[in-house]
Amino acid sequence: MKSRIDGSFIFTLFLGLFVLVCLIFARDFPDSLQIATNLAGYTTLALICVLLAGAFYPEILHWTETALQDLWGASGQDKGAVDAVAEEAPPWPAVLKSIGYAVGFLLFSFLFGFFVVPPIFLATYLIAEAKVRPLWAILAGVIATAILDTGMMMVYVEVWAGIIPEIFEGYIGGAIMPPL
Amino acid sequence: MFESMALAASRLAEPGALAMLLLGVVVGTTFGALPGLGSIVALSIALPFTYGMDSMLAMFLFAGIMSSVTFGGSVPAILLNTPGTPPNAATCFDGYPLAQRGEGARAVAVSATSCFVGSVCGTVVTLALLPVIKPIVFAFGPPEFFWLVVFGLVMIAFASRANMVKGLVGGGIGVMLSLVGYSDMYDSFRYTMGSNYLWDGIPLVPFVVGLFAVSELINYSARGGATVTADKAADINWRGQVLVGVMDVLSRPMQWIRASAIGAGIGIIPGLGGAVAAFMSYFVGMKHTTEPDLYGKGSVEGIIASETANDAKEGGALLPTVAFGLPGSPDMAILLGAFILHGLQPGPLMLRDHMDIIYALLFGIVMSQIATSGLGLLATPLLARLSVLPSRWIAPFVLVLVFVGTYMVRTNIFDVFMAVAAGIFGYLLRRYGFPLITIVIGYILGPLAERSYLQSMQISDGSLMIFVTEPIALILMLGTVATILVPIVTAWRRKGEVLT
Amino acid sequence: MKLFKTLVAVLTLSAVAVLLPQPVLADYPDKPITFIVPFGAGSSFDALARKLAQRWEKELKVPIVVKPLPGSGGRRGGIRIYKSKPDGYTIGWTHFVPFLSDLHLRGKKPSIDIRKVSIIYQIAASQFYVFVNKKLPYKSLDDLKNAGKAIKFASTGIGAITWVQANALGATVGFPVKFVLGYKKLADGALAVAKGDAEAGVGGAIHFRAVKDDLRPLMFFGPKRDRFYPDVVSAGELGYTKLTNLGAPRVITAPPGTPESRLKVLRAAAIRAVNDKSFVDWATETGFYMNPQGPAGTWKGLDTKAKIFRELKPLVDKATRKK
Repeated sequence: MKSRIDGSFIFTLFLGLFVLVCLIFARDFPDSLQIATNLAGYTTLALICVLLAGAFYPEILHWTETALQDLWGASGQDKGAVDAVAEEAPPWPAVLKSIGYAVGFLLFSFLFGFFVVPPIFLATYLIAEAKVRPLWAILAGVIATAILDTGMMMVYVEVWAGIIPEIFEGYIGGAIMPPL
Repeated sequence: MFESMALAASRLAEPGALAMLLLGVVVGTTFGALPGLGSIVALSIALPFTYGMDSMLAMFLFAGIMSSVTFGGSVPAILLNTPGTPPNAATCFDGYPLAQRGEGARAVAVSATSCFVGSVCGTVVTLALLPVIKPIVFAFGPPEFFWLVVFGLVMIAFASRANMVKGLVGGGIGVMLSLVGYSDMYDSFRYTMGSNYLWDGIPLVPFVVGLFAVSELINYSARGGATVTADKAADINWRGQVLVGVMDVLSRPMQWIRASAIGAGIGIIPGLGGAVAAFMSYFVGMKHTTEPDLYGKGSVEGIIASETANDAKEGGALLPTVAFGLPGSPDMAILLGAFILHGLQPGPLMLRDHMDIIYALLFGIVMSQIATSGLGLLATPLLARLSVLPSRWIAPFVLVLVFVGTYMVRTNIFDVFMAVAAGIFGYLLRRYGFPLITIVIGYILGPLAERSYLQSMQISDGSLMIFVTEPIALILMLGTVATILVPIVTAWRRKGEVLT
Repeated sequence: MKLFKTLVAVLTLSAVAVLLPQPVLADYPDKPITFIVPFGAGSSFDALARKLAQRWEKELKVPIVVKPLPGSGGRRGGIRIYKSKPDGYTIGWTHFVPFLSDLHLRGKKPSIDIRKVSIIYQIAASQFYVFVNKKLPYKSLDDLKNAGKAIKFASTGIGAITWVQANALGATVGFPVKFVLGYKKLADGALAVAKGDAEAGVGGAIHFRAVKDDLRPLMFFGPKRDRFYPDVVSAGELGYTKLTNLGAPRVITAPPGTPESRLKVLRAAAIRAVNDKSFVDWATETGFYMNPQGPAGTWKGLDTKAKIFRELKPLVDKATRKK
């Protein structure tokens, strides 16, 4: 038995738990609405179990994959690609940094709005990551934001002003949160 | 009929009409290229501006927008692996690998030409089917719809042939995610956790844009570099690639005729929409490709399949919209509103009294597509150079555009949260080898399959025979079964031959 | 000298008080007004709003920005209006049917306190017909009653206005109903009846106009006959008064606490609109049933609807019981 508890295994386990929770909650739905959930859910769960088992017993996964490919007449060059990762993955620190930028931009935009945050985000990213000179970065950020926000206002789309208490009506703060 | 055609054609030659078409082209291409926006936002914004305008001029503006959005959306799909609109997602699979090989201009040119042929073919189909639209729409009910959608779901298996287990898991996850929301058929909530936001389910645009665009931006900015390195770019003949791209399409008539038929056919069926047309055509193209090794990894035939169908569906979608007031796609719903605002009532009276308006739309679609494709081809050498720019210059701007674009669709800030969440999820899926395409298919087709199944059962009072006794349903069922069985039988035969 | 200074001060203050802008009456409106529509661009709510906006821009001399805010079955727009600043610059259609449905059919607390909504004016109501497939032998409601079986209606969903009306009709006339559900639009439902997927449907003339050759309207849900099908009997004529109150009203509302003076300005503009022949002609031709009502009349109509919904609750409970 060979153990391969890696990121792929953990992610697949998470998917399996997600499907399992969905199936449990589905028991409260009207019968007719359970059909699609059960059909998709149990099939998916079974295949996820194959993937998880494959981390310990690769032959299980290989057999299943080969059987399915044979069934569907997959062409030769596709076979044997069971363990191939879709693409060469960048290292996790770089990925987490990118995610951090996206999430940070999102949270600050939620708080302070699309007038204030985009130029700061653009300038910060360009300076820190793209090594652009600060003056150009700030200019680029301000111009890009001005174009976007003016465009939105010209077509009467309300620019998100941020959830903080109103500072400058319609521009900073005081936005009405949609129902969540 | 000819009088109406002549009237529409003569109006098209007016400077005002050409100006509206060009304005529509600029607006449509821009909105298509900005991830998250698309034709629905463009048309919604244009709608009030047409109020008080001559009806035909308004139609030219709408035609310009509708026909150019798909090309606009294909540009970031090819150069940045970031679809401008959900239907362009299928173009990413082949367009971006081509761009990575330094053939971005070729891919964009293929898209521009495919859009053109798709528009023309879609319009021809529309004109041909206009007299018989009623029997066609009447022939398609829930049982027929069901088999059509099941066929699409079966395609998940074809789409995942490189990684069947993960592909099928992705499809299943997509279906599970699509079931979130309120079911008006049973007055029941599924997985909404009491949330008003999830009442209408996981919204399409933020989810698909997040899954593709945000996940790609995470990957792109983490990876660094550029889509094409500067060294490689120095040797690229961008202009030369444009002609190659045009010839790629023109030399493959069967590909685009088939894609046009699929696009127009799906467009005619109310409720399916652009993403379904593009993906269905993509998968059927996968089965009939002359480049099986390359399809999904940088084949021009993949782009031809998706973009041609995407454009052909506009003409098809117009038919049920004008004939029955049933939008054939989401953007047609807005067109319907425009008709009403301009005092036009869709239905037999419109077909009888306002054929000139319908011809104006159709001719407008073709003319604006000529303009879009022409301008697109001219701009391609310049656009393709985007792929040479370092990712860390482009990524933050694209992220801002994605945020603003997804926000603008419903002016709901939580859509941006959804896009980011989908993006992180999409990144993990890609990193661990789960194909995004199967998730999107499951997500789009899952609720359609469920609704058509449940409606069929209500129509037949619970009898499953409805799925085989309706003639068209029977044909579609046999087609779907054949699609499943033929590869199995072929594989067994091949195995048998090898053994003997 | 002191007296002179005092006099000057008093005169100056008086002049300032007189000349200062009177924000409540004199300057309203002095900036764009946002008109929220709880459905997507292109919907009938949207079309009516834009037609009104075109008039009001000329009268009120400010832009009227129509803003579609679809979602949650029409609730999202209503919630947005409710939560906006009560300054008269954010108004819109509140689609009351889903909120009434939440409260009286589902027994759930709606997201807004309906009673606190500031009603400006009710412009119209959607009034529907009940229609059947022409190939079927039903030529009157009595035929439906005498069919001896449940009549299959096409509808959008449980609790939707067409579902409510079909059930109310069946309960009033005396025939059982069953449904084919899940049609996204009323026109879809009409097409389903025309194709024979369902036997009957409920919808406006505008919804089944495209397939009217395949359908036979049996009754109009209004108090009087409708101009589209003057030969078709009305619920009022048949004595089914309750059924005449089931149309979905198109009510312009403002957030709770909006100053009455501002509501009056908008109300006056709405009243002028419904008295304008060209506007009324457009609206009726487009399929709206003009039913202008001030706040009192609107509340009365909503109370009647609420009562009917409460009476239908047992049917809803039965239909939604897990099966």
